Amino acid sequence: MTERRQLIILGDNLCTYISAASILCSANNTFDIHIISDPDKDEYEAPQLSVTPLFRGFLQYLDIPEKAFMKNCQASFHYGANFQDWTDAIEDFPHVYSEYGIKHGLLNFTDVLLSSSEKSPTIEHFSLGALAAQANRFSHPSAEGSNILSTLQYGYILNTEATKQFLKKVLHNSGVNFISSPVNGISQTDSGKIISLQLAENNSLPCDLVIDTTFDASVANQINPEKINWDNELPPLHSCVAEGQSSEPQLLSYYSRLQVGWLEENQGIQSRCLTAYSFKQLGLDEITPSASEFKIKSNGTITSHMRQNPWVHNCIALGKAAVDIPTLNFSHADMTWGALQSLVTLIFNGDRYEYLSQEYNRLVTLIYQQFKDLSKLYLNEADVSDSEFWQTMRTTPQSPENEARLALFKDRGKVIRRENDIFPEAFYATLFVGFGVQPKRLHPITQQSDQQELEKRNQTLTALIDKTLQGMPKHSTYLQQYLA
Amino acid sequence: MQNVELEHIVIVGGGTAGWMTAAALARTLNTDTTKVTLIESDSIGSIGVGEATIPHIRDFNAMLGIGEAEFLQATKGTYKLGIEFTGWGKEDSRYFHPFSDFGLGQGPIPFHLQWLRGKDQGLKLNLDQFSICAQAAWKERFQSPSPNGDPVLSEYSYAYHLDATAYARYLRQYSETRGVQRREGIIKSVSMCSQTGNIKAVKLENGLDIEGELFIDCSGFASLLINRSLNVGYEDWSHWLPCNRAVAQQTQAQSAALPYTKSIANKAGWQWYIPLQHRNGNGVVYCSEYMNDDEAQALLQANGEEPLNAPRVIRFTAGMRRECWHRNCVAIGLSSGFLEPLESTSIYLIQVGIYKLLELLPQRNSLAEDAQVFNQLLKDEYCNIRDFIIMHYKLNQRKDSEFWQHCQAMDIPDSLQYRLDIFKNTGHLPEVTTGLGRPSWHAIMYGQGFLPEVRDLRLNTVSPKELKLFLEQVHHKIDEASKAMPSHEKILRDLGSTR
Repeated sequence: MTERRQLIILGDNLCTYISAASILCSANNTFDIHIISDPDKDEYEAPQLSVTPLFRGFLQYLDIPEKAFMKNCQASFHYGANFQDWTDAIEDFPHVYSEYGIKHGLLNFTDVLLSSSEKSPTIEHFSLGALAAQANRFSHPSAEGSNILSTLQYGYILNTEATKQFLKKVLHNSGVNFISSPVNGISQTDSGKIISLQLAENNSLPCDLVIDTTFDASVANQINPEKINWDNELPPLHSCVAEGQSSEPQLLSYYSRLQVGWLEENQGIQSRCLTAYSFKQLGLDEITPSASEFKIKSNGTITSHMRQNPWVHNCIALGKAAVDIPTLNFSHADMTWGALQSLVTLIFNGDRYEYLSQEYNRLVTLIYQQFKDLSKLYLNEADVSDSEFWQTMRTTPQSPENEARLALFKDRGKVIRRENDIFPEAFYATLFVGFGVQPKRLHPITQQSDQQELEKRNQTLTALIDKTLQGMPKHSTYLQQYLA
Repeated sequence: MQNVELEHIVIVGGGTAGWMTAAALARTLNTDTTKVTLIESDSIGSIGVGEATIPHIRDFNAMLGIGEAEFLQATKGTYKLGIEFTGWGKEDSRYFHPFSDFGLGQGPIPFHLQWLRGKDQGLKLNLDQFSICAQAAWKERFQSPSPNGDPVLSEYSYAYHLDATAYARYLRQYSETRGVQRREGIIKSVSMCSQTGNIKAVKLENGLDIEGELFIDCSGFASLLINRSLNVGYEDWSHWLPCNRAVAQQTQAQSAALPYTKSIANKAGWQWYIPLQHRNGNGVVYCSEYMNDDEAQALLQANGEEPLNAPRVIRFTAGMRRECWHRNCVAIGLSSGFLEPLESTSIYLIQVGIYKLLELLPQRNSLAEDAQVFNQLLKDEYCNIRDFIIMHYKLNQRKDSEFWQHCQAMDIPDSLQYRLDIFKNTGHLPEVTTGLGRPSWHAIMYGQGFLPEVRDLRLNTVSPKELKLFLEQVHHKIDEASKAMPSHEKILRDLGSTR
């Protein structure tokens, strides 16, 4: 048996505890884990947080039963996002994680939909998840492939504080050491590796590996301050978080277009959370007509970037220490879990950090860029130019990957899957169709298909969706029964 | 929205690539609206690529709606669970590249790293002994994976050995009954449109002019359209893959057909052995700088099996076309590039070309708009397989010839070097999302003695006794499951094989 290694995790936010829990779960007693939080730092996070189906992998990884997790984290279910007034022509577009339509031979559903008659219903009518989300009705997906319920995909809306406390308890019970102290300095070897951290009252803590999840990246900045700035694609924004009482947990996050920005609303079991994004700081009355029902909890700024090389020597930046962007239809927890999946496959593989970090940095750069690209696509596809804000969002450059994806769709209604894609092709295709992007042409096979047969299949599908929807319970009823 | 459908697609060349393309087009297009013509000549032989395949061919058959029994009967095919490599590590080494992962299920610590630690602690079992495909193959047994979720019997895949000539004949019949028109003839010239630079028509020796909008070049090494007419250059990879010749011969089957391909390294290349229902396929792939044609033929004939035809020498240069889709011409098969058949990937690369073409099928007024996307996607596939094949040569440990020493010392592509460096220094293999995946790479690396220099830290907390017990239990389950499978011979006999 060899000596256990000392892993220090810095921070006191959701990412801190998600990281600690993921590593602990597969560490097999390899590491002593210490979590250091600075009592003088306020790492405020929005009280409600929506996560995508990707985050369910975190529960599976930790082997936590969903019911226990949801009860402890005061979580409700989440089907996706509704974009309100995002374009002049389309009032509401629910972009959910569930499937839309069904594949027809070589043809994707979006080919079929785009080729169908103008009388055809809008895209949400071909998705049980989208209609269920709008009606706030929920069912778990069926494992039976032929059942329409198998098309459902869901994430959660979490109570951030409850989730933190739950994970802290799990970590505490597993012997993780919690230290409340500022980090006053670091000791490094000549090569730059961190040997120990200096804490309050001249205490020093030796370390083999440091994970910095603090919002100000205080240690990671000392090791590697270099950043990749994305502010040419996503200009700096003010964010304002307000909290009110929840009336009923919603399956959708709501993204409403404001003239000077947008408003995100997540309504969970206990609270209702509004986050407004704009070039300027907004007052409560500019965000919501029901200002009296909310209290502003935080004002901040987002300068979109990621750390160039989040892992350097034996120091890994995670969460906001690694990446910060406005998140649309996903959250920072999704990005953290995405990065952690790479980290936990590498962190135990010896201590040749120059190789481990090289591979980790390659992988997480791909992950962070895709999340950033998704936010940018949503903002870019808002087909409105009635203010400086939206003109800027539509005219600032896109990444080459987004450009290529959009160009191919505009040209022929096609999305091609690329290596390391996080989201399936259909997710992008439905995003484009939902926002009214009209391709110049469609796959030639659509023209050769029997249009009547396609229409008939579509009608059968929408009828089945309508019928199934009627049998689905209300979200709140389902939650009560499921979590009883 | 404009929709200007293609009216005529012309495929130049039959053989495996031509008829696979024709069959896929016939399956997906309405041939009354889009005419598909294939031009081939009985007087031009085909190379007959890929008598051995990888599991993806089953997806292709499914797309065409072809049942397995019918397919195997028509192609005189056999099942394939992987490839046995002899002499690729050290001269006397042997390992198996299976179409399955090693071990059972996926825990937090990858199985290959647990096995590696077991080896450190004296385990005698090789990694092959933890593969259901390898174990079944060496016992000459086979059964289709079970759909019941059994951790041993449901988590593997398989492919086929087939008679390429019979396969092309079968697909020809399939295509012709679905409206593909076959024209017999030799291409005499190609006429180009002076304004667009596109191919306008091909003229046959019998005087027939065949006009088309989209031309698929399946003319093999001749590359009649993509190279001779459109002058698209070739990216030469022979500095990484020095073998440049093959000699092939069919032999009489003497014993039951094996459910695996054999690849046996020799002093300047390697030899293949592919068992079919009615005969065996044999060949020697070699580098002409280190072995001449006579030596290669002598090696081929030393296997003692009765030859069924005269040996045939094939010359090639490893590499790929700089653009496989150029103007209104798409190269599929050998006209798009050549990678030696070491890992049976030729038919797979044809399949990839066909899938991407179907995805990006153009219209009359935009014949090359998505060529760049197609070319990049195909290049990614080619490069991944190229790296995989180069790795076999680079990681050899033979000391018996200049050829193998040259391969050990040669430069390799940066993409492969990165993969090897990361594996050696972390035990983690960067994921490959195209072609052959991680288990295939692990099989070759471990099989040829290329091991990580670090160990998973978590195994420090597992006692040697506990690990040994775990590994032995896994091996026992796999061994027992493979013993319980029916023999490959019986399975083939049930299909009507009369070897």
